Amino acid sequence: MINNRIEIFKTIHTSMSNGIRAGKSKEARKWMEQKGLSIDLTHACFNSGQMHHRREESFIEALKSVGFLKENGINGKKEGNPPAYTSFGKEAIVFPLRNENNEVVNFHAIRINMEKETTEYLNYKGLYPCYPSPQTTKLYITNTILEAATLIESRVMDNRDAVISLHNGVIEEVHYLAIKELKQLETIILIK
Amino acid sequence: MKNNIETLQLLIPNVELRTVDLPQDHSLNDMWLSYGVEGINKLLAEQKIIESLYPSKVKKVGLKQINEGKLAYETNSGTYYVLGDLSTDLSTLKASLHFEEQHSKRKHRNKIDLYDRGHVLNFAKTISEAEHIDINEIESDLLKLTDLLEAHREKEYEALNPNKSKKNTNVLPPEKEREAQTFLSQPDLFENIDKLIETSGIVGETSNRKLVFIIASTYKMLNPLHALVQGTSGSGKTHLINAIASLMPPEDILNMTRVTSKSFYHYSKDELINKLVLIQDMDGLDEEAKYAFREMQSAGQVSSSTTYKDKFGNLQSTVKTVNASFASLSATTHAEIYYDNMSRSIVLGIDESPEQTQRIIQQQNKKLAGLTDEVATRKAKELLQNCMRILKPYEVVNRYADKIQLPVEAKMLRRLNNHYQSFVSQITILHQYQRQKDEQGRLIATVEDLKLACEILFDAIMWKIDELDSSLRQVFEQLKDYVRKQGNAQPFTAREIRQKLNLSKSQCFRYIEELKKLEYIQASEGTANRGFRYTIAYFDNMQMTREKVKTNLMEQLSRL
Repeated sequence: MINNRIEIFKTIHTSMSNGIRAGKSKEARKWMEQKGLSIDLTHACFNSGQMHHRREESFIEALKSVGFLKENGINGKKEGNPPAYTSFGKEAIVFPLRNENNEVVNFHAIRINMEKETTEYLNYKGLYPCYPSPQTTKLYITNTILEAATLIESRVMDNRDAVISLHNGVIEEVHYLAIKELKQLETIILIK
Repeated sequence: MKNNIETLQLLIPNVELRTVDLPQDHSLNDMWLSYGVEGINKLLAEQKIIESLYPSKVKKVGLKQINEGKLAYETNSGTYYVLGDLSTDLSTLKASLHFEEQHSKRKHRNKIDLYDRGHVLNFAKTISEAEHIDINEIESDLLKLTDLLEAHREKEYEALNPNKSKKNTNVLPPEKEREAQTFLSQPDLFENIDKLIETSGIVGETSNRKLVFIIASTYKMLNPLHALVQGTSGSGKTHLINAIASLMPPEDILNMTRVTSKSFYHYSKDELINKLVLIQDMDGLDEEAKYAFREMQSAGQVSSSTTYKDKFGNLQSTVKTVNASFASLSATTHAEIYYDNMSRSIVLGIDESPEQTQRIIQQQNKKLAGLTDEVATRKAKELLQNCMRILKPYEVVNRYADKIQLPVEAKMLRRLNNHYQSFVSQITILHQYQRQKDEQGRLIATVEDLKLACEILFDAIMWKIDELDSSLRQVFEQLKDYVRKQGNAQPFTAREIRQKLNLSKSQCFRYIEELKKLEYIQASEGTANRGFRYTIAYFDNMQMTREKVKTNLMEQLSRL
């Protein structure tokens, strides 16, 4: 049983991070290639939505506790008809968001197997790709995580540049607090 | 998004905000896929700065110079002062730092090397502990201060050692260049130039001002000329040379009031190349400087063998050479003292007539009354300066050089002839947009150039013929007029002349002594006790000599 939130997120992240490299995840890698993004630079993951399959009760409880799994009110087909679950970001490219200690605390999912791509956040914590270094002088701010990932992929930023992404174009408290800590910051560039 | 900007401005007021607009219906990812790194770079280059709605309360970042030895740097937590000079050794950045806390005004003083991380950390720690300020903040302030001091030191260093490449920074904008070119290509160039000179504020002195202008304009050329303006004090000598110098590009002018004996030897190698040197009074040059000045005028360089200390403290000898190719305008009250310097220069006398005085007074009053057109004055100056900037030094061939014989009566005929030929060349060079070139790219002088040179230079040639200098000549002419009216034989006293010619006592005495020495007048009656009475011993006829020389030259010219 994992009871620490951070530990739970770590486990989920490891699982999905392996997921995008798994042999079956061709669709996910194809999508990444289409967007011109690499897995290593952007820290992209893949969630097949089957993480809880054939896992012990305690693990499912842990996933439920962070909101990754939700009971959908339907009973499953298995023996004893256990409750069925809906996973966060099923069949989605998932980007991890991190806190000031560089620990994963949140996920952003782009569901690629839908008719129209949809995006969702697990909660309001964390920053993508991570908290900017205190030495940052120039900070780029993008509206979406995909744009931030693109900027990272293009490698146009200098040593003391950094990028963070807003939560769908909205400044949350977490952004403001992070920017306030940057004592050497001189310029903020908003990409609209 | 607009909300975001306002939020950010409100929350983080001291950070500059910029925006980058993505093209319509495009996402950053599209741009990345279609245009790659270049596209992203290009997009990011188009940043728009957002004016802050909430002016920052944080003091402006930057060093403030309080006085020569004190720099201040204000931060949120307090003020840093840097005292004294920064070391010129670029490997260290030792500084005497004072930190004054914002509220308590407590001071922390330390001498640290900002390049030494240990020093910086220690200092930051001390302040942080004493003032309860976050150590990271102090450290980051110190880092910024280091950056600023570095930049400051660099700037100082550059000011001390002006970069050679800076010379080319004065490139004319194309439309100014075109304007100057058109001006130089028009016929009657000299009349136009003369008009501009007049607009720029020089009244009277019609031939002198052209002459000085042409001499000044030779400073970039192969054979620069030198002018020595002679006149009594207060006659406007320096006014004339300064006014002409103001028509030349200011970046090429070296203005000297005083020159110490060895200073000419210590210019850097090419510092005196293509410059216009202004010497406000030859008296300001001491004997050795005058000697060096003469050498530079005729030999084009001065060299001195001196010793210097090498890195290890050993004395080494070296010959230091300073190349010189400059034109000069100098003023003096007594030309004859600078006899050696005189021969190398074109000497001209200031018009000291009462009419000229009237013209100057009128001009001064007009200026004070606000009747002069300042805009036109400035424009005239700018146009002439630009003309000078676009003039290129050419070699000139003068096919008629051997056809003109200067009057043999002139003193130092060899140098005078040299000056005359250079002068003709310069007139051709000023007409460089109108004259033809031979196959070697040299400009060809025309008969008009020679005529112009004769006209403008004529007075200067006459001063070389005359043994009286210009002010003495003008006094003597007036004296002759006065004596003729009185009846030639009538002796006169010094008092009479003093009062008639409106001279001061010592000036009058000096003139009389000078004329006596040259035997133009002699004491005919009286004694030293009771005062002498003088008569004119030699009624020369300068007017006639002038006419004679002039007709002679004109004849030669008309034969060409």
